[in-house]
Amino acid sequence: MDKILRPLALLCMLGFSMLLLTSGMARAASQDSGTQAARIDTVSAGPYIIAVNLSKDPPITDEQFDITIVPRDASLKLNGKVIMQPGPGTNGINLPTNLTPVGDGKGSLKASVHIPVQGAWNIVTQLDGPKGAGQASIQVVVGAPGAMAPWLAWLIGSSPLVFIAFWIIHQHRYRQRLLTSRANMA
Amino acid sequence: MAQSKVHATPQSTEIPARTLTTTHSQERTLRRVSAWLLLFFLLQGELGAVWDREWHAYVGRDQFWTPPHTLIYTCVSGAGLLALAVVLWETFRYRRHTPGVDDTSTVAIFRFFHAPLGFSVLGFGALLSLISAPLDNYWHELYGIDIALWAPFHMMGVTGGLIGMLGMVYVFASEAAIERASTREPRRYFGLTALELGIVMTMGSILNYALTGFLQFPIITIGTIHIDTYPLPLVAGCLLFMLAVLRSTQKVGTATLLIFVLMLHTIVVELFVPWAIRTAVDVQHMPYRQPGLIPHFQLDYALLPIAFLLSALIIDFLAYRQQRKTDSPNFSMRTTLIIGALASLPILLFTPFILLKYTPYAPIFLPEKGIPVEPVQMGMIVVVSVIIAMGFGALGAWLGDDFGDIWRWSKR
Repeated sequence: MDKILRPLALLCMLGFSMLLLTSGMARAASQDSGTQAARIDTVSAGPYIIAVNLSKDPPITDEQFDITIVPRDASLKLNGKVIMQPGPGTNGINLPTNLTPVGDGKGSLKASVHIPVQGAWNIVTQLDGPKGAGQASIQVVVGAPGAMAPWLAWLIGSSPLVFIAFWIIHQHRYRQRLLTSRANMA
Repeated sequence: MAQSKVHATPQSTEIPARTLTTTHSQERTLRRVSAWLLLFFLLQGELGAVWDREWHAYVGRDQFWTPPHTLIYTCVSGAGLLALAVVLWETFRYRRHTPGVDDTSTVAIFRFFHAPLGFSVLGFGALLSLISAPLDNYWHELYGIDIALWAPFHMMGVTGGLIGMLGMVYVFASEAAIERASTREPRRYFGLTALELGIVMTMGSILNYALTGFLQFPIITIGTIHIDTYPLPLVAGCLLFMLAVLRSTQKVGTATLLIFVLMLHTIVVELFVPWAIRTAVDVQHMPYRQPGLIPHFQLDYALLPIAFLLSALIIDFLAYRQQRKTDSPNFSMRTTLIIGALASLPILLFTPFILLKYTPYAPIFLPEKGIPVEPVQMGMIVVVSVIIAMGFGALGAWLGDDFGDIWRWSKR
């Protein structure tokens, strides 16, 4: 019996170690890929040809993500900002964020942004440099967590009103008891 | 909340009188210092709530941690943690049979905790508001930044806030009741003790809280006439607290004082909020939603409580007459209901006039433009609406009667 169990235990340990190793490698690989752009769009912002790199695609509501602007001409000293602009049917406001130089020798600029509402948004890049000002826009669709059924949301949201109703009844009865006992004492 | 019947403080045969006095005084200090701290948090949250409403209108909700949200949630967390600390500390003292902490001064919660009623209610309200915060953010993520008061988790947060504030009235009221029962004569301001003033200030804050959202109340459409329902929360809230403050303090003039306290709140709010928005926008380099539409001090909002003044004066005058006749300013239930219904009329009449320049929805009856209205139909709608508003006034007065008495008597 022991001769069977011991190799079986060894096999299990080996399998478990392989599993740990594989998941660890997978995690490391995913972290490595996280530093790369999830989406790259090459657009012209007036006189400037730029690559707009998004660190997440699709972006998720309220999760920070990076926008990196890489000009084709690395010698250009550009500055500017990105504006998250709500697209058609999206209830939001323009959210401007200034771009800051990355210092990678490619003249790249970067901004960390977040978008608060799901749906269609435009990422507008406004640049200024030696050739004047330019603007480019790319479209993104921002994802959100799965929607809760409205009836469930209302059930949860209005549950404290039940407490208030209960409390009013409780306090009314409590007062009636106090009044009765006072009347009896008198 | 079950009420335990067995726990009692050991009597003076076991504990020297001086120790009893000291511990009793410690108990009073603990609860009263906590009450004033809670009032500070409440004022902070009140400013945050109006600031948030205006931030939505002028700037837009760009993220969860907007400056007004930061103010609101530090208030909710601060008040909630303070209430939790008091509940835990009082439970500990109850179980140690500390003099002054027994079944006459605490309520039992889940048969384990024993704490003053006000702190327990307040803690529950703060907890509800905190739970609603991430859920509300989730709702905004799904449906946009402009979902207003009538969203499920806004309602939850608002109700939590209201419960918390009612808890605060219980905190001040029970301490005022204990103070009245003691032999020591406290210092008075405007004829009220500091704790009674705390009650008035808290009630003023609750009314100001009602003003934060009253214009979001729905518009009902009958035929071609739109009817604003915003006067209903105003009428019910004002009548409730005007009568409750009168009954809980038993001082003629407190209904009018309450309206002046409310006006102080609205003036401070109007002085603070537009300035705070302009400053935060400047500091964060944010654009306004509509360029050129920049908030500024609005006298009509600051003086809105004037619309409630005549009702308060009527109530105080009637209470004065009642006191001269019966030695008590309390009315019978039937008189209270009649007063509630009648005193709602000046509010109904004056509020739209004061708000005329503040909002296009100020008139209560808004006929569809370009469509003539039958005078008989309009007359019927006006009469029915006024009767409903008077019913709300009577309901508010009835609740004011109930809660006013409980706040007068409760020492828990």
